[in-house]
Amino acid sequence: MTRGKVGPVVASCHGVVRVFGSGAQETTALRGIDLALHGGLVTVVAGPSGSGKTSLLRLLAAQDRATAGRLEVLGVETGHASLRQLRELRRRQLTYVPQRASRGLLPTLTVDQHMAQVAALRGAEVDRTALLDRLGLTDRSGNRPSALSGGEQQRLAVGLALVGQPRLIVADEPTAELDSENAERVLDAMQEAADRGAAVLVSSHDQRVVERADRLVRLRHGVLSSEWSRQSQVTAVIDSTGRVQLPEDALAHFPQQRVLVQIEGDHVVLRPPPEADS
Amino acid sequence: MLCHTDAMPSPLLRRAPARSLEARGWAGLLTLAGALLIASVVAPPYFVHAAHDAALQRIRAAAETDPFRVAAVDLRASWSGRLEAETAADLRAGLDSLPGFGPAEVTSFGTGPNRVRQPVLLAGGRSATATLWARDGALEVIGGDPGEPGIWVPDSVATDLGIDTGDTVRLATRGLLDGDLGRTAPLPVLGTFDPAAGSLLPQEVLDLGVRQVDLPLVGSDAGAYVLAITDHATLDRVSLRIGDIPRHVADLALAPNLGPDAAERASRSQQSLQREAYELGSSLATGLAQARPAAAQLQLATDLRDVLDDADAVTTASRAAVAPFARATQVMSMLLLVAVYALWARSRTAESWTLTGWGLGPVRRGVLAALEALPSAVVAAPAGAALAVAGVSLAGPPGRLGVRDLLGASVTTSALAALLVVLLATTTAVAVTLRQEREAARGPHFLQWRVPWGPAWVAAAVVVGVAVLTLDVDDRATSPLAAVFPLAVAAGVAVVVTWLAAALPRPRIGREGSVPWLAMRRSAASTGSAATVVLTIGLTVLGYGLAVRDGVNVAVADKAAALAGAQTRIDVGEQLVGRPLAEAARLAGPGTAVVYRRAVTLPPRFGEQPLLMAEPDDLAAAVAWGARLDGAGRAALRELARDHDPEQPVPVVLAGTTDNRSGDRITLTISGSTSVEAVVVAAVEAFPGSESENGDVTVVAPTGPLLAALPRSFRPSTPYEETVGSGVFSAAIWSSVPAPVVRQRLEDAGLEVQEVASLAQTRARPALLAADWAVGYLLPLGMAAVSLVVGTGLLLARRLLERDRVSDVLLRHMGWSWRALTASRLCELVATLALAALASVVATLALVLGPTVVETSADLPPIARPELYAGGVAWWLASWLVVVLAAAIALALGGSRRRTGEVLRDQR
Repeated sequence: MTRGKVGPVVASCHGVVRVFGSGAQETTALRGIDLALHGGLVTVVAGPSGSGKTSLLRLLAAQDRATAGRLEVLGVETGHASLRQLRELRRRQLTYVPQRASRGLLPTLTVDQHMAQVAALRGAEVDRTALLDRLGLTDRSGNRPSALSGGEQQRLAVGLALVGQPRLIVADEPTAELDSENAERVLDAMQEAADRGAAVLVSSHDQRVVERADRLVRLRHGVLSSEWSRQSQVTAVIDSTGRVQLPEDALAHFPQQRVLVQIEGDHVVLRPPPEADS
Repeated sequence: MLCHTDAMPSPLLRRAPARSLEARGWAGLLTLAGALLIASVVAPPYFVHAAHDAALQRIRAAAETDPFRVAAVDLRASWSGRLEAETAADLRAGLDSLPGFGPAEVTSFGTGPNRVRQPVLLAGGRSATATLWARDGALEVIGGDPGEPGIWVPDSVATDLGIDTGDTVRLATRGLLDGDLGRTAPLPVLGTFDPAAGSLLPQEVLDLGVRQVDLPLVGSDAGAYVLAITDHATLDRVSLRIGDIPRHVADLALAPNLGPDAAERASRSQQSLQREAYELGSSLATGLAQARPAAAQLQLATDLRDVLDDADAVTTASRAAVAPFARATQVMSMLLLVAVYALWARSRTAESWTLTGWGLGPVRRGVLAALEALPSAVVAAPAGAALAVAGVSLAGPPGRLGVRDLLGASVTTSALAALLVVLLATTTAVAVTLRQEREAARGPHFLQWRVPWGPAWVAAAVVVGVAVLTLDVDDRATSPLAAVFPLAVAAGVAVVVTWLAAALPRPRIGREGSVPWLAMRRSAASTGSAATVVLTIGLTVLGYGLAVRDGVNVAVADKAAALAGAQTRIDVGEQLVGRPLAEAARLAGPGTAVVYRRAVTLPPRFGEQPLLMAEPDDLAAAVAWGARLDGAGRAALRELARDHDPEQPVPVVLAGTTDNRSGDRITLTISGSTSVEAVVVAAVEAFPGSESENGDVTVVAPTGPLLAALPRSFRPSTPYEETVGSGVFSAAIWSSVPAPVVRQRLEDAGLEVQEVASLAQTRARPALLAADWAVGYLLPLGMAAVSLVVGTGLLLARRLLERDRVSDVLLRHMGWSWRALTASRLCELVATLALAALASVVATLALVLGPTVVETSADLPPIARPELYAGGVAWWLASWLVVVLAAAIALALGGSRRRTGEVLRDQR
């Protein structure tokens, strides 16, 4: 896989918290996320169900606002942006593929009309034939979403996200319902967008997606636990309050769930505390 | 592959109109709601047009049959002297060209006998008093030729004068004092005629429409006076020659069934001609000034202007009377439209989020909504106009709606109302978009605030209720509160009832796994309170509308009865003074009651009050009762008719505003120191004929006991000269017999009729007529209410179906049948409808028992207020059942069409 040049930061999170509900029903989905997304890279967010992946993606796609922290997307601080700024951001510069592809499509428009509509909104002209061919939807251009299979709907949703050269593409599990061939098509298209300088953020459990990532971040319990990129090995992430999540195999060394932190020269050594005398 | 451009057509906008048509059910509901809204906007002008026309026809008919009004709306032009031929032709052309009137029928005649001179016909030394007379077409019908100079005389005159056809006679005017004939004019006798019995003219001429009352003054010796028929030119020429002044009358009949606009044009043209006749320098005025022997004046007489003004007054009153109902219909229709569109929008939440995600702002969404609503608005515009025409024609005033009225009122208004439909849909879409965007954009500083609709409705009901109470009853009907009050009360009560229902512990119904059990489990999680409020508003407006209809009908009957007293009431003033009561009763004849009136005071009450004295049995037979007063009034009169112990106080009935109750002892101060002790046998709200210029309570007393308690000088049978200082009773004849019959009886008895009133005339008073017609508007209001309720019921059914799309599939797999699931949903629906019905009953009772806002003529007793009758309740129940049935059918059909695969596929 060829890799383009790493571009400037397109979106960044600093101590982002997202709490849903209020009072006794309160659920904290994200607990102080620090993350920067660069243009030209495909960043994959992985993590178990309920770890906060979709919440993070919706925040970065300007579909939601953070409860606390600072979130900047394409130069706009979404926490304080006006509705008009957010609308403009969504319309022109970033695209979002929802988890359920059918939720991002209109039942009364055909595949071709979807393409034309999104292109019109973004003020872009698109070679629809080529794009549909690329996504394997040429034969379905006159069909409405209700006549498409789940995979075709998903490919259409991804195709719409690619229209108009957006600077940030956010896709929630875009290959969830695709076979290998179609998943490759979708991933190729996204990679191509990244190569043109867009920041691509994808959440997925799919190993095929993980393998294509330039950067992989793992979420656990609403916290970024580790990060991997092609330029570095797996690293744990220290958040803005100094917290770090240890990998499962490292945790096994700390049965008391207590740790001694010792600084030895340029090393920081973590040891289990000595067992107390009985 | 990609390049930027700004010029790209939007498939979303292009497909928007077709998009709404694809959702056939929603588009149908939207069209129905739109049609109702358009009808509610278009109907009031139609109603006013119909009221104006009906009022004009009714008042015109009354004017034409009124024996005291001559000619009524027809036009009579009159002038004297001989006009130059050109002026006469211009005047005739001017009269003939007046719009709305028929051709002028000109009658000319010389001066009749007066105290100074007498027109005479001389032949062979003998003479007869005769005036020349001419009329369009008269000579032709008796066989004469209008171009031939000469006269036609009655056979008897020819015999008396010894003349025959072909002889020459002379005409002159003879001075009564000196016998001077002055100048004479010879004229040949062209023929003779036989006058019709009791007339001066032959029957053929009378058949032209000549009325006896229009003939020249006959004088005391009618038998010696004749009319000599000639043509207009001869009459003019001969009259001037003998020193007489010719007089001319042109009668123009107003075209029958003339509409208000045409009648208005006719009146204006007539006024314009009248102005021209007096306008210095106008050719007509100049021509009239040159008339011989002296300048003439053109007089145009007609009551058309008065009739038109009366019709305008009725129209204005009708407009005011119908305004609250019209406003309520409009508010409800708007409510229905917004509810339909909002629920449609809710059913498309996913689509809406997609559009929000694409960055479509409120403006674009508004345009999209407008385009989507356009097909419905286009269909709804003519449908609404047709609905309005049908409603007004079926239930409105009995006036005619001409094509011009219909087009004039409908095209512009329907278009504007259709625009309102689009605008409401657009506004709702914009509101939905903004709300979604705000929800998406809620951040750390976002305060999630929703309108507290429940408390807001309750507060609105309280505020409006207090405001209504503070308004004078005279002002309530015309206040906008009259339209808002029922809606606010219904919504407020609905909210309170839903709160109470939610606070009550839920009963355990059915065993676990049964249909009622499932319904209870599901309804616990559903949010049907908004639907309950809308259903309650619809049902309450329906129930209240029916109560108002009955109440106003009753009130109009009561008010007319309270004003008129009887089918016929003829005042004879003090002409019965000095006549024994039995003789007076005999004069009036059967089916009548002689009612004696005078004023009394009821200490310590201030001011004079009317006293009616009559034989209770006669009065009960003659009086015209209202609807509500019937039972109570008759019972009260029966009490009065009981045998009376002379030692006991005089029994009386008090009608009107009084603090006295049955059994109270009161004092009637008749005059000065003369008082009569009385006992109240009944106090009723109003009594037929009780309306009076003085006082606010009428005392009704039986003749026998009251006269027994009065000194002789107060009795009607006492001659004038013996009543000095006591004052006298004036008298009126009340009768269930038609006015002409009673009138004839009284005139035959030598009584002079002073004032005739009838129940029919009273009902034609502007306020009562308007209230009567405005009640018809309750039919469209009821239709709007039923539509609102049925529409909401269907929407509720649809929402339940949408809610259970997935769970039904799962429950089916668990062994539930479609039938059981549908039955469970029906239980929920019926529970909501039952709760709404309960709230509606409470709200309707509150409105019926609370302060009235339907009083259209508070200056007339009694007060109009809504009334609940069995018929109204039956209609209400039937409507509720229709809603349940419609919703049940929708549930059954909607559920049976589902396929498991389709449902689950959509959930991916």
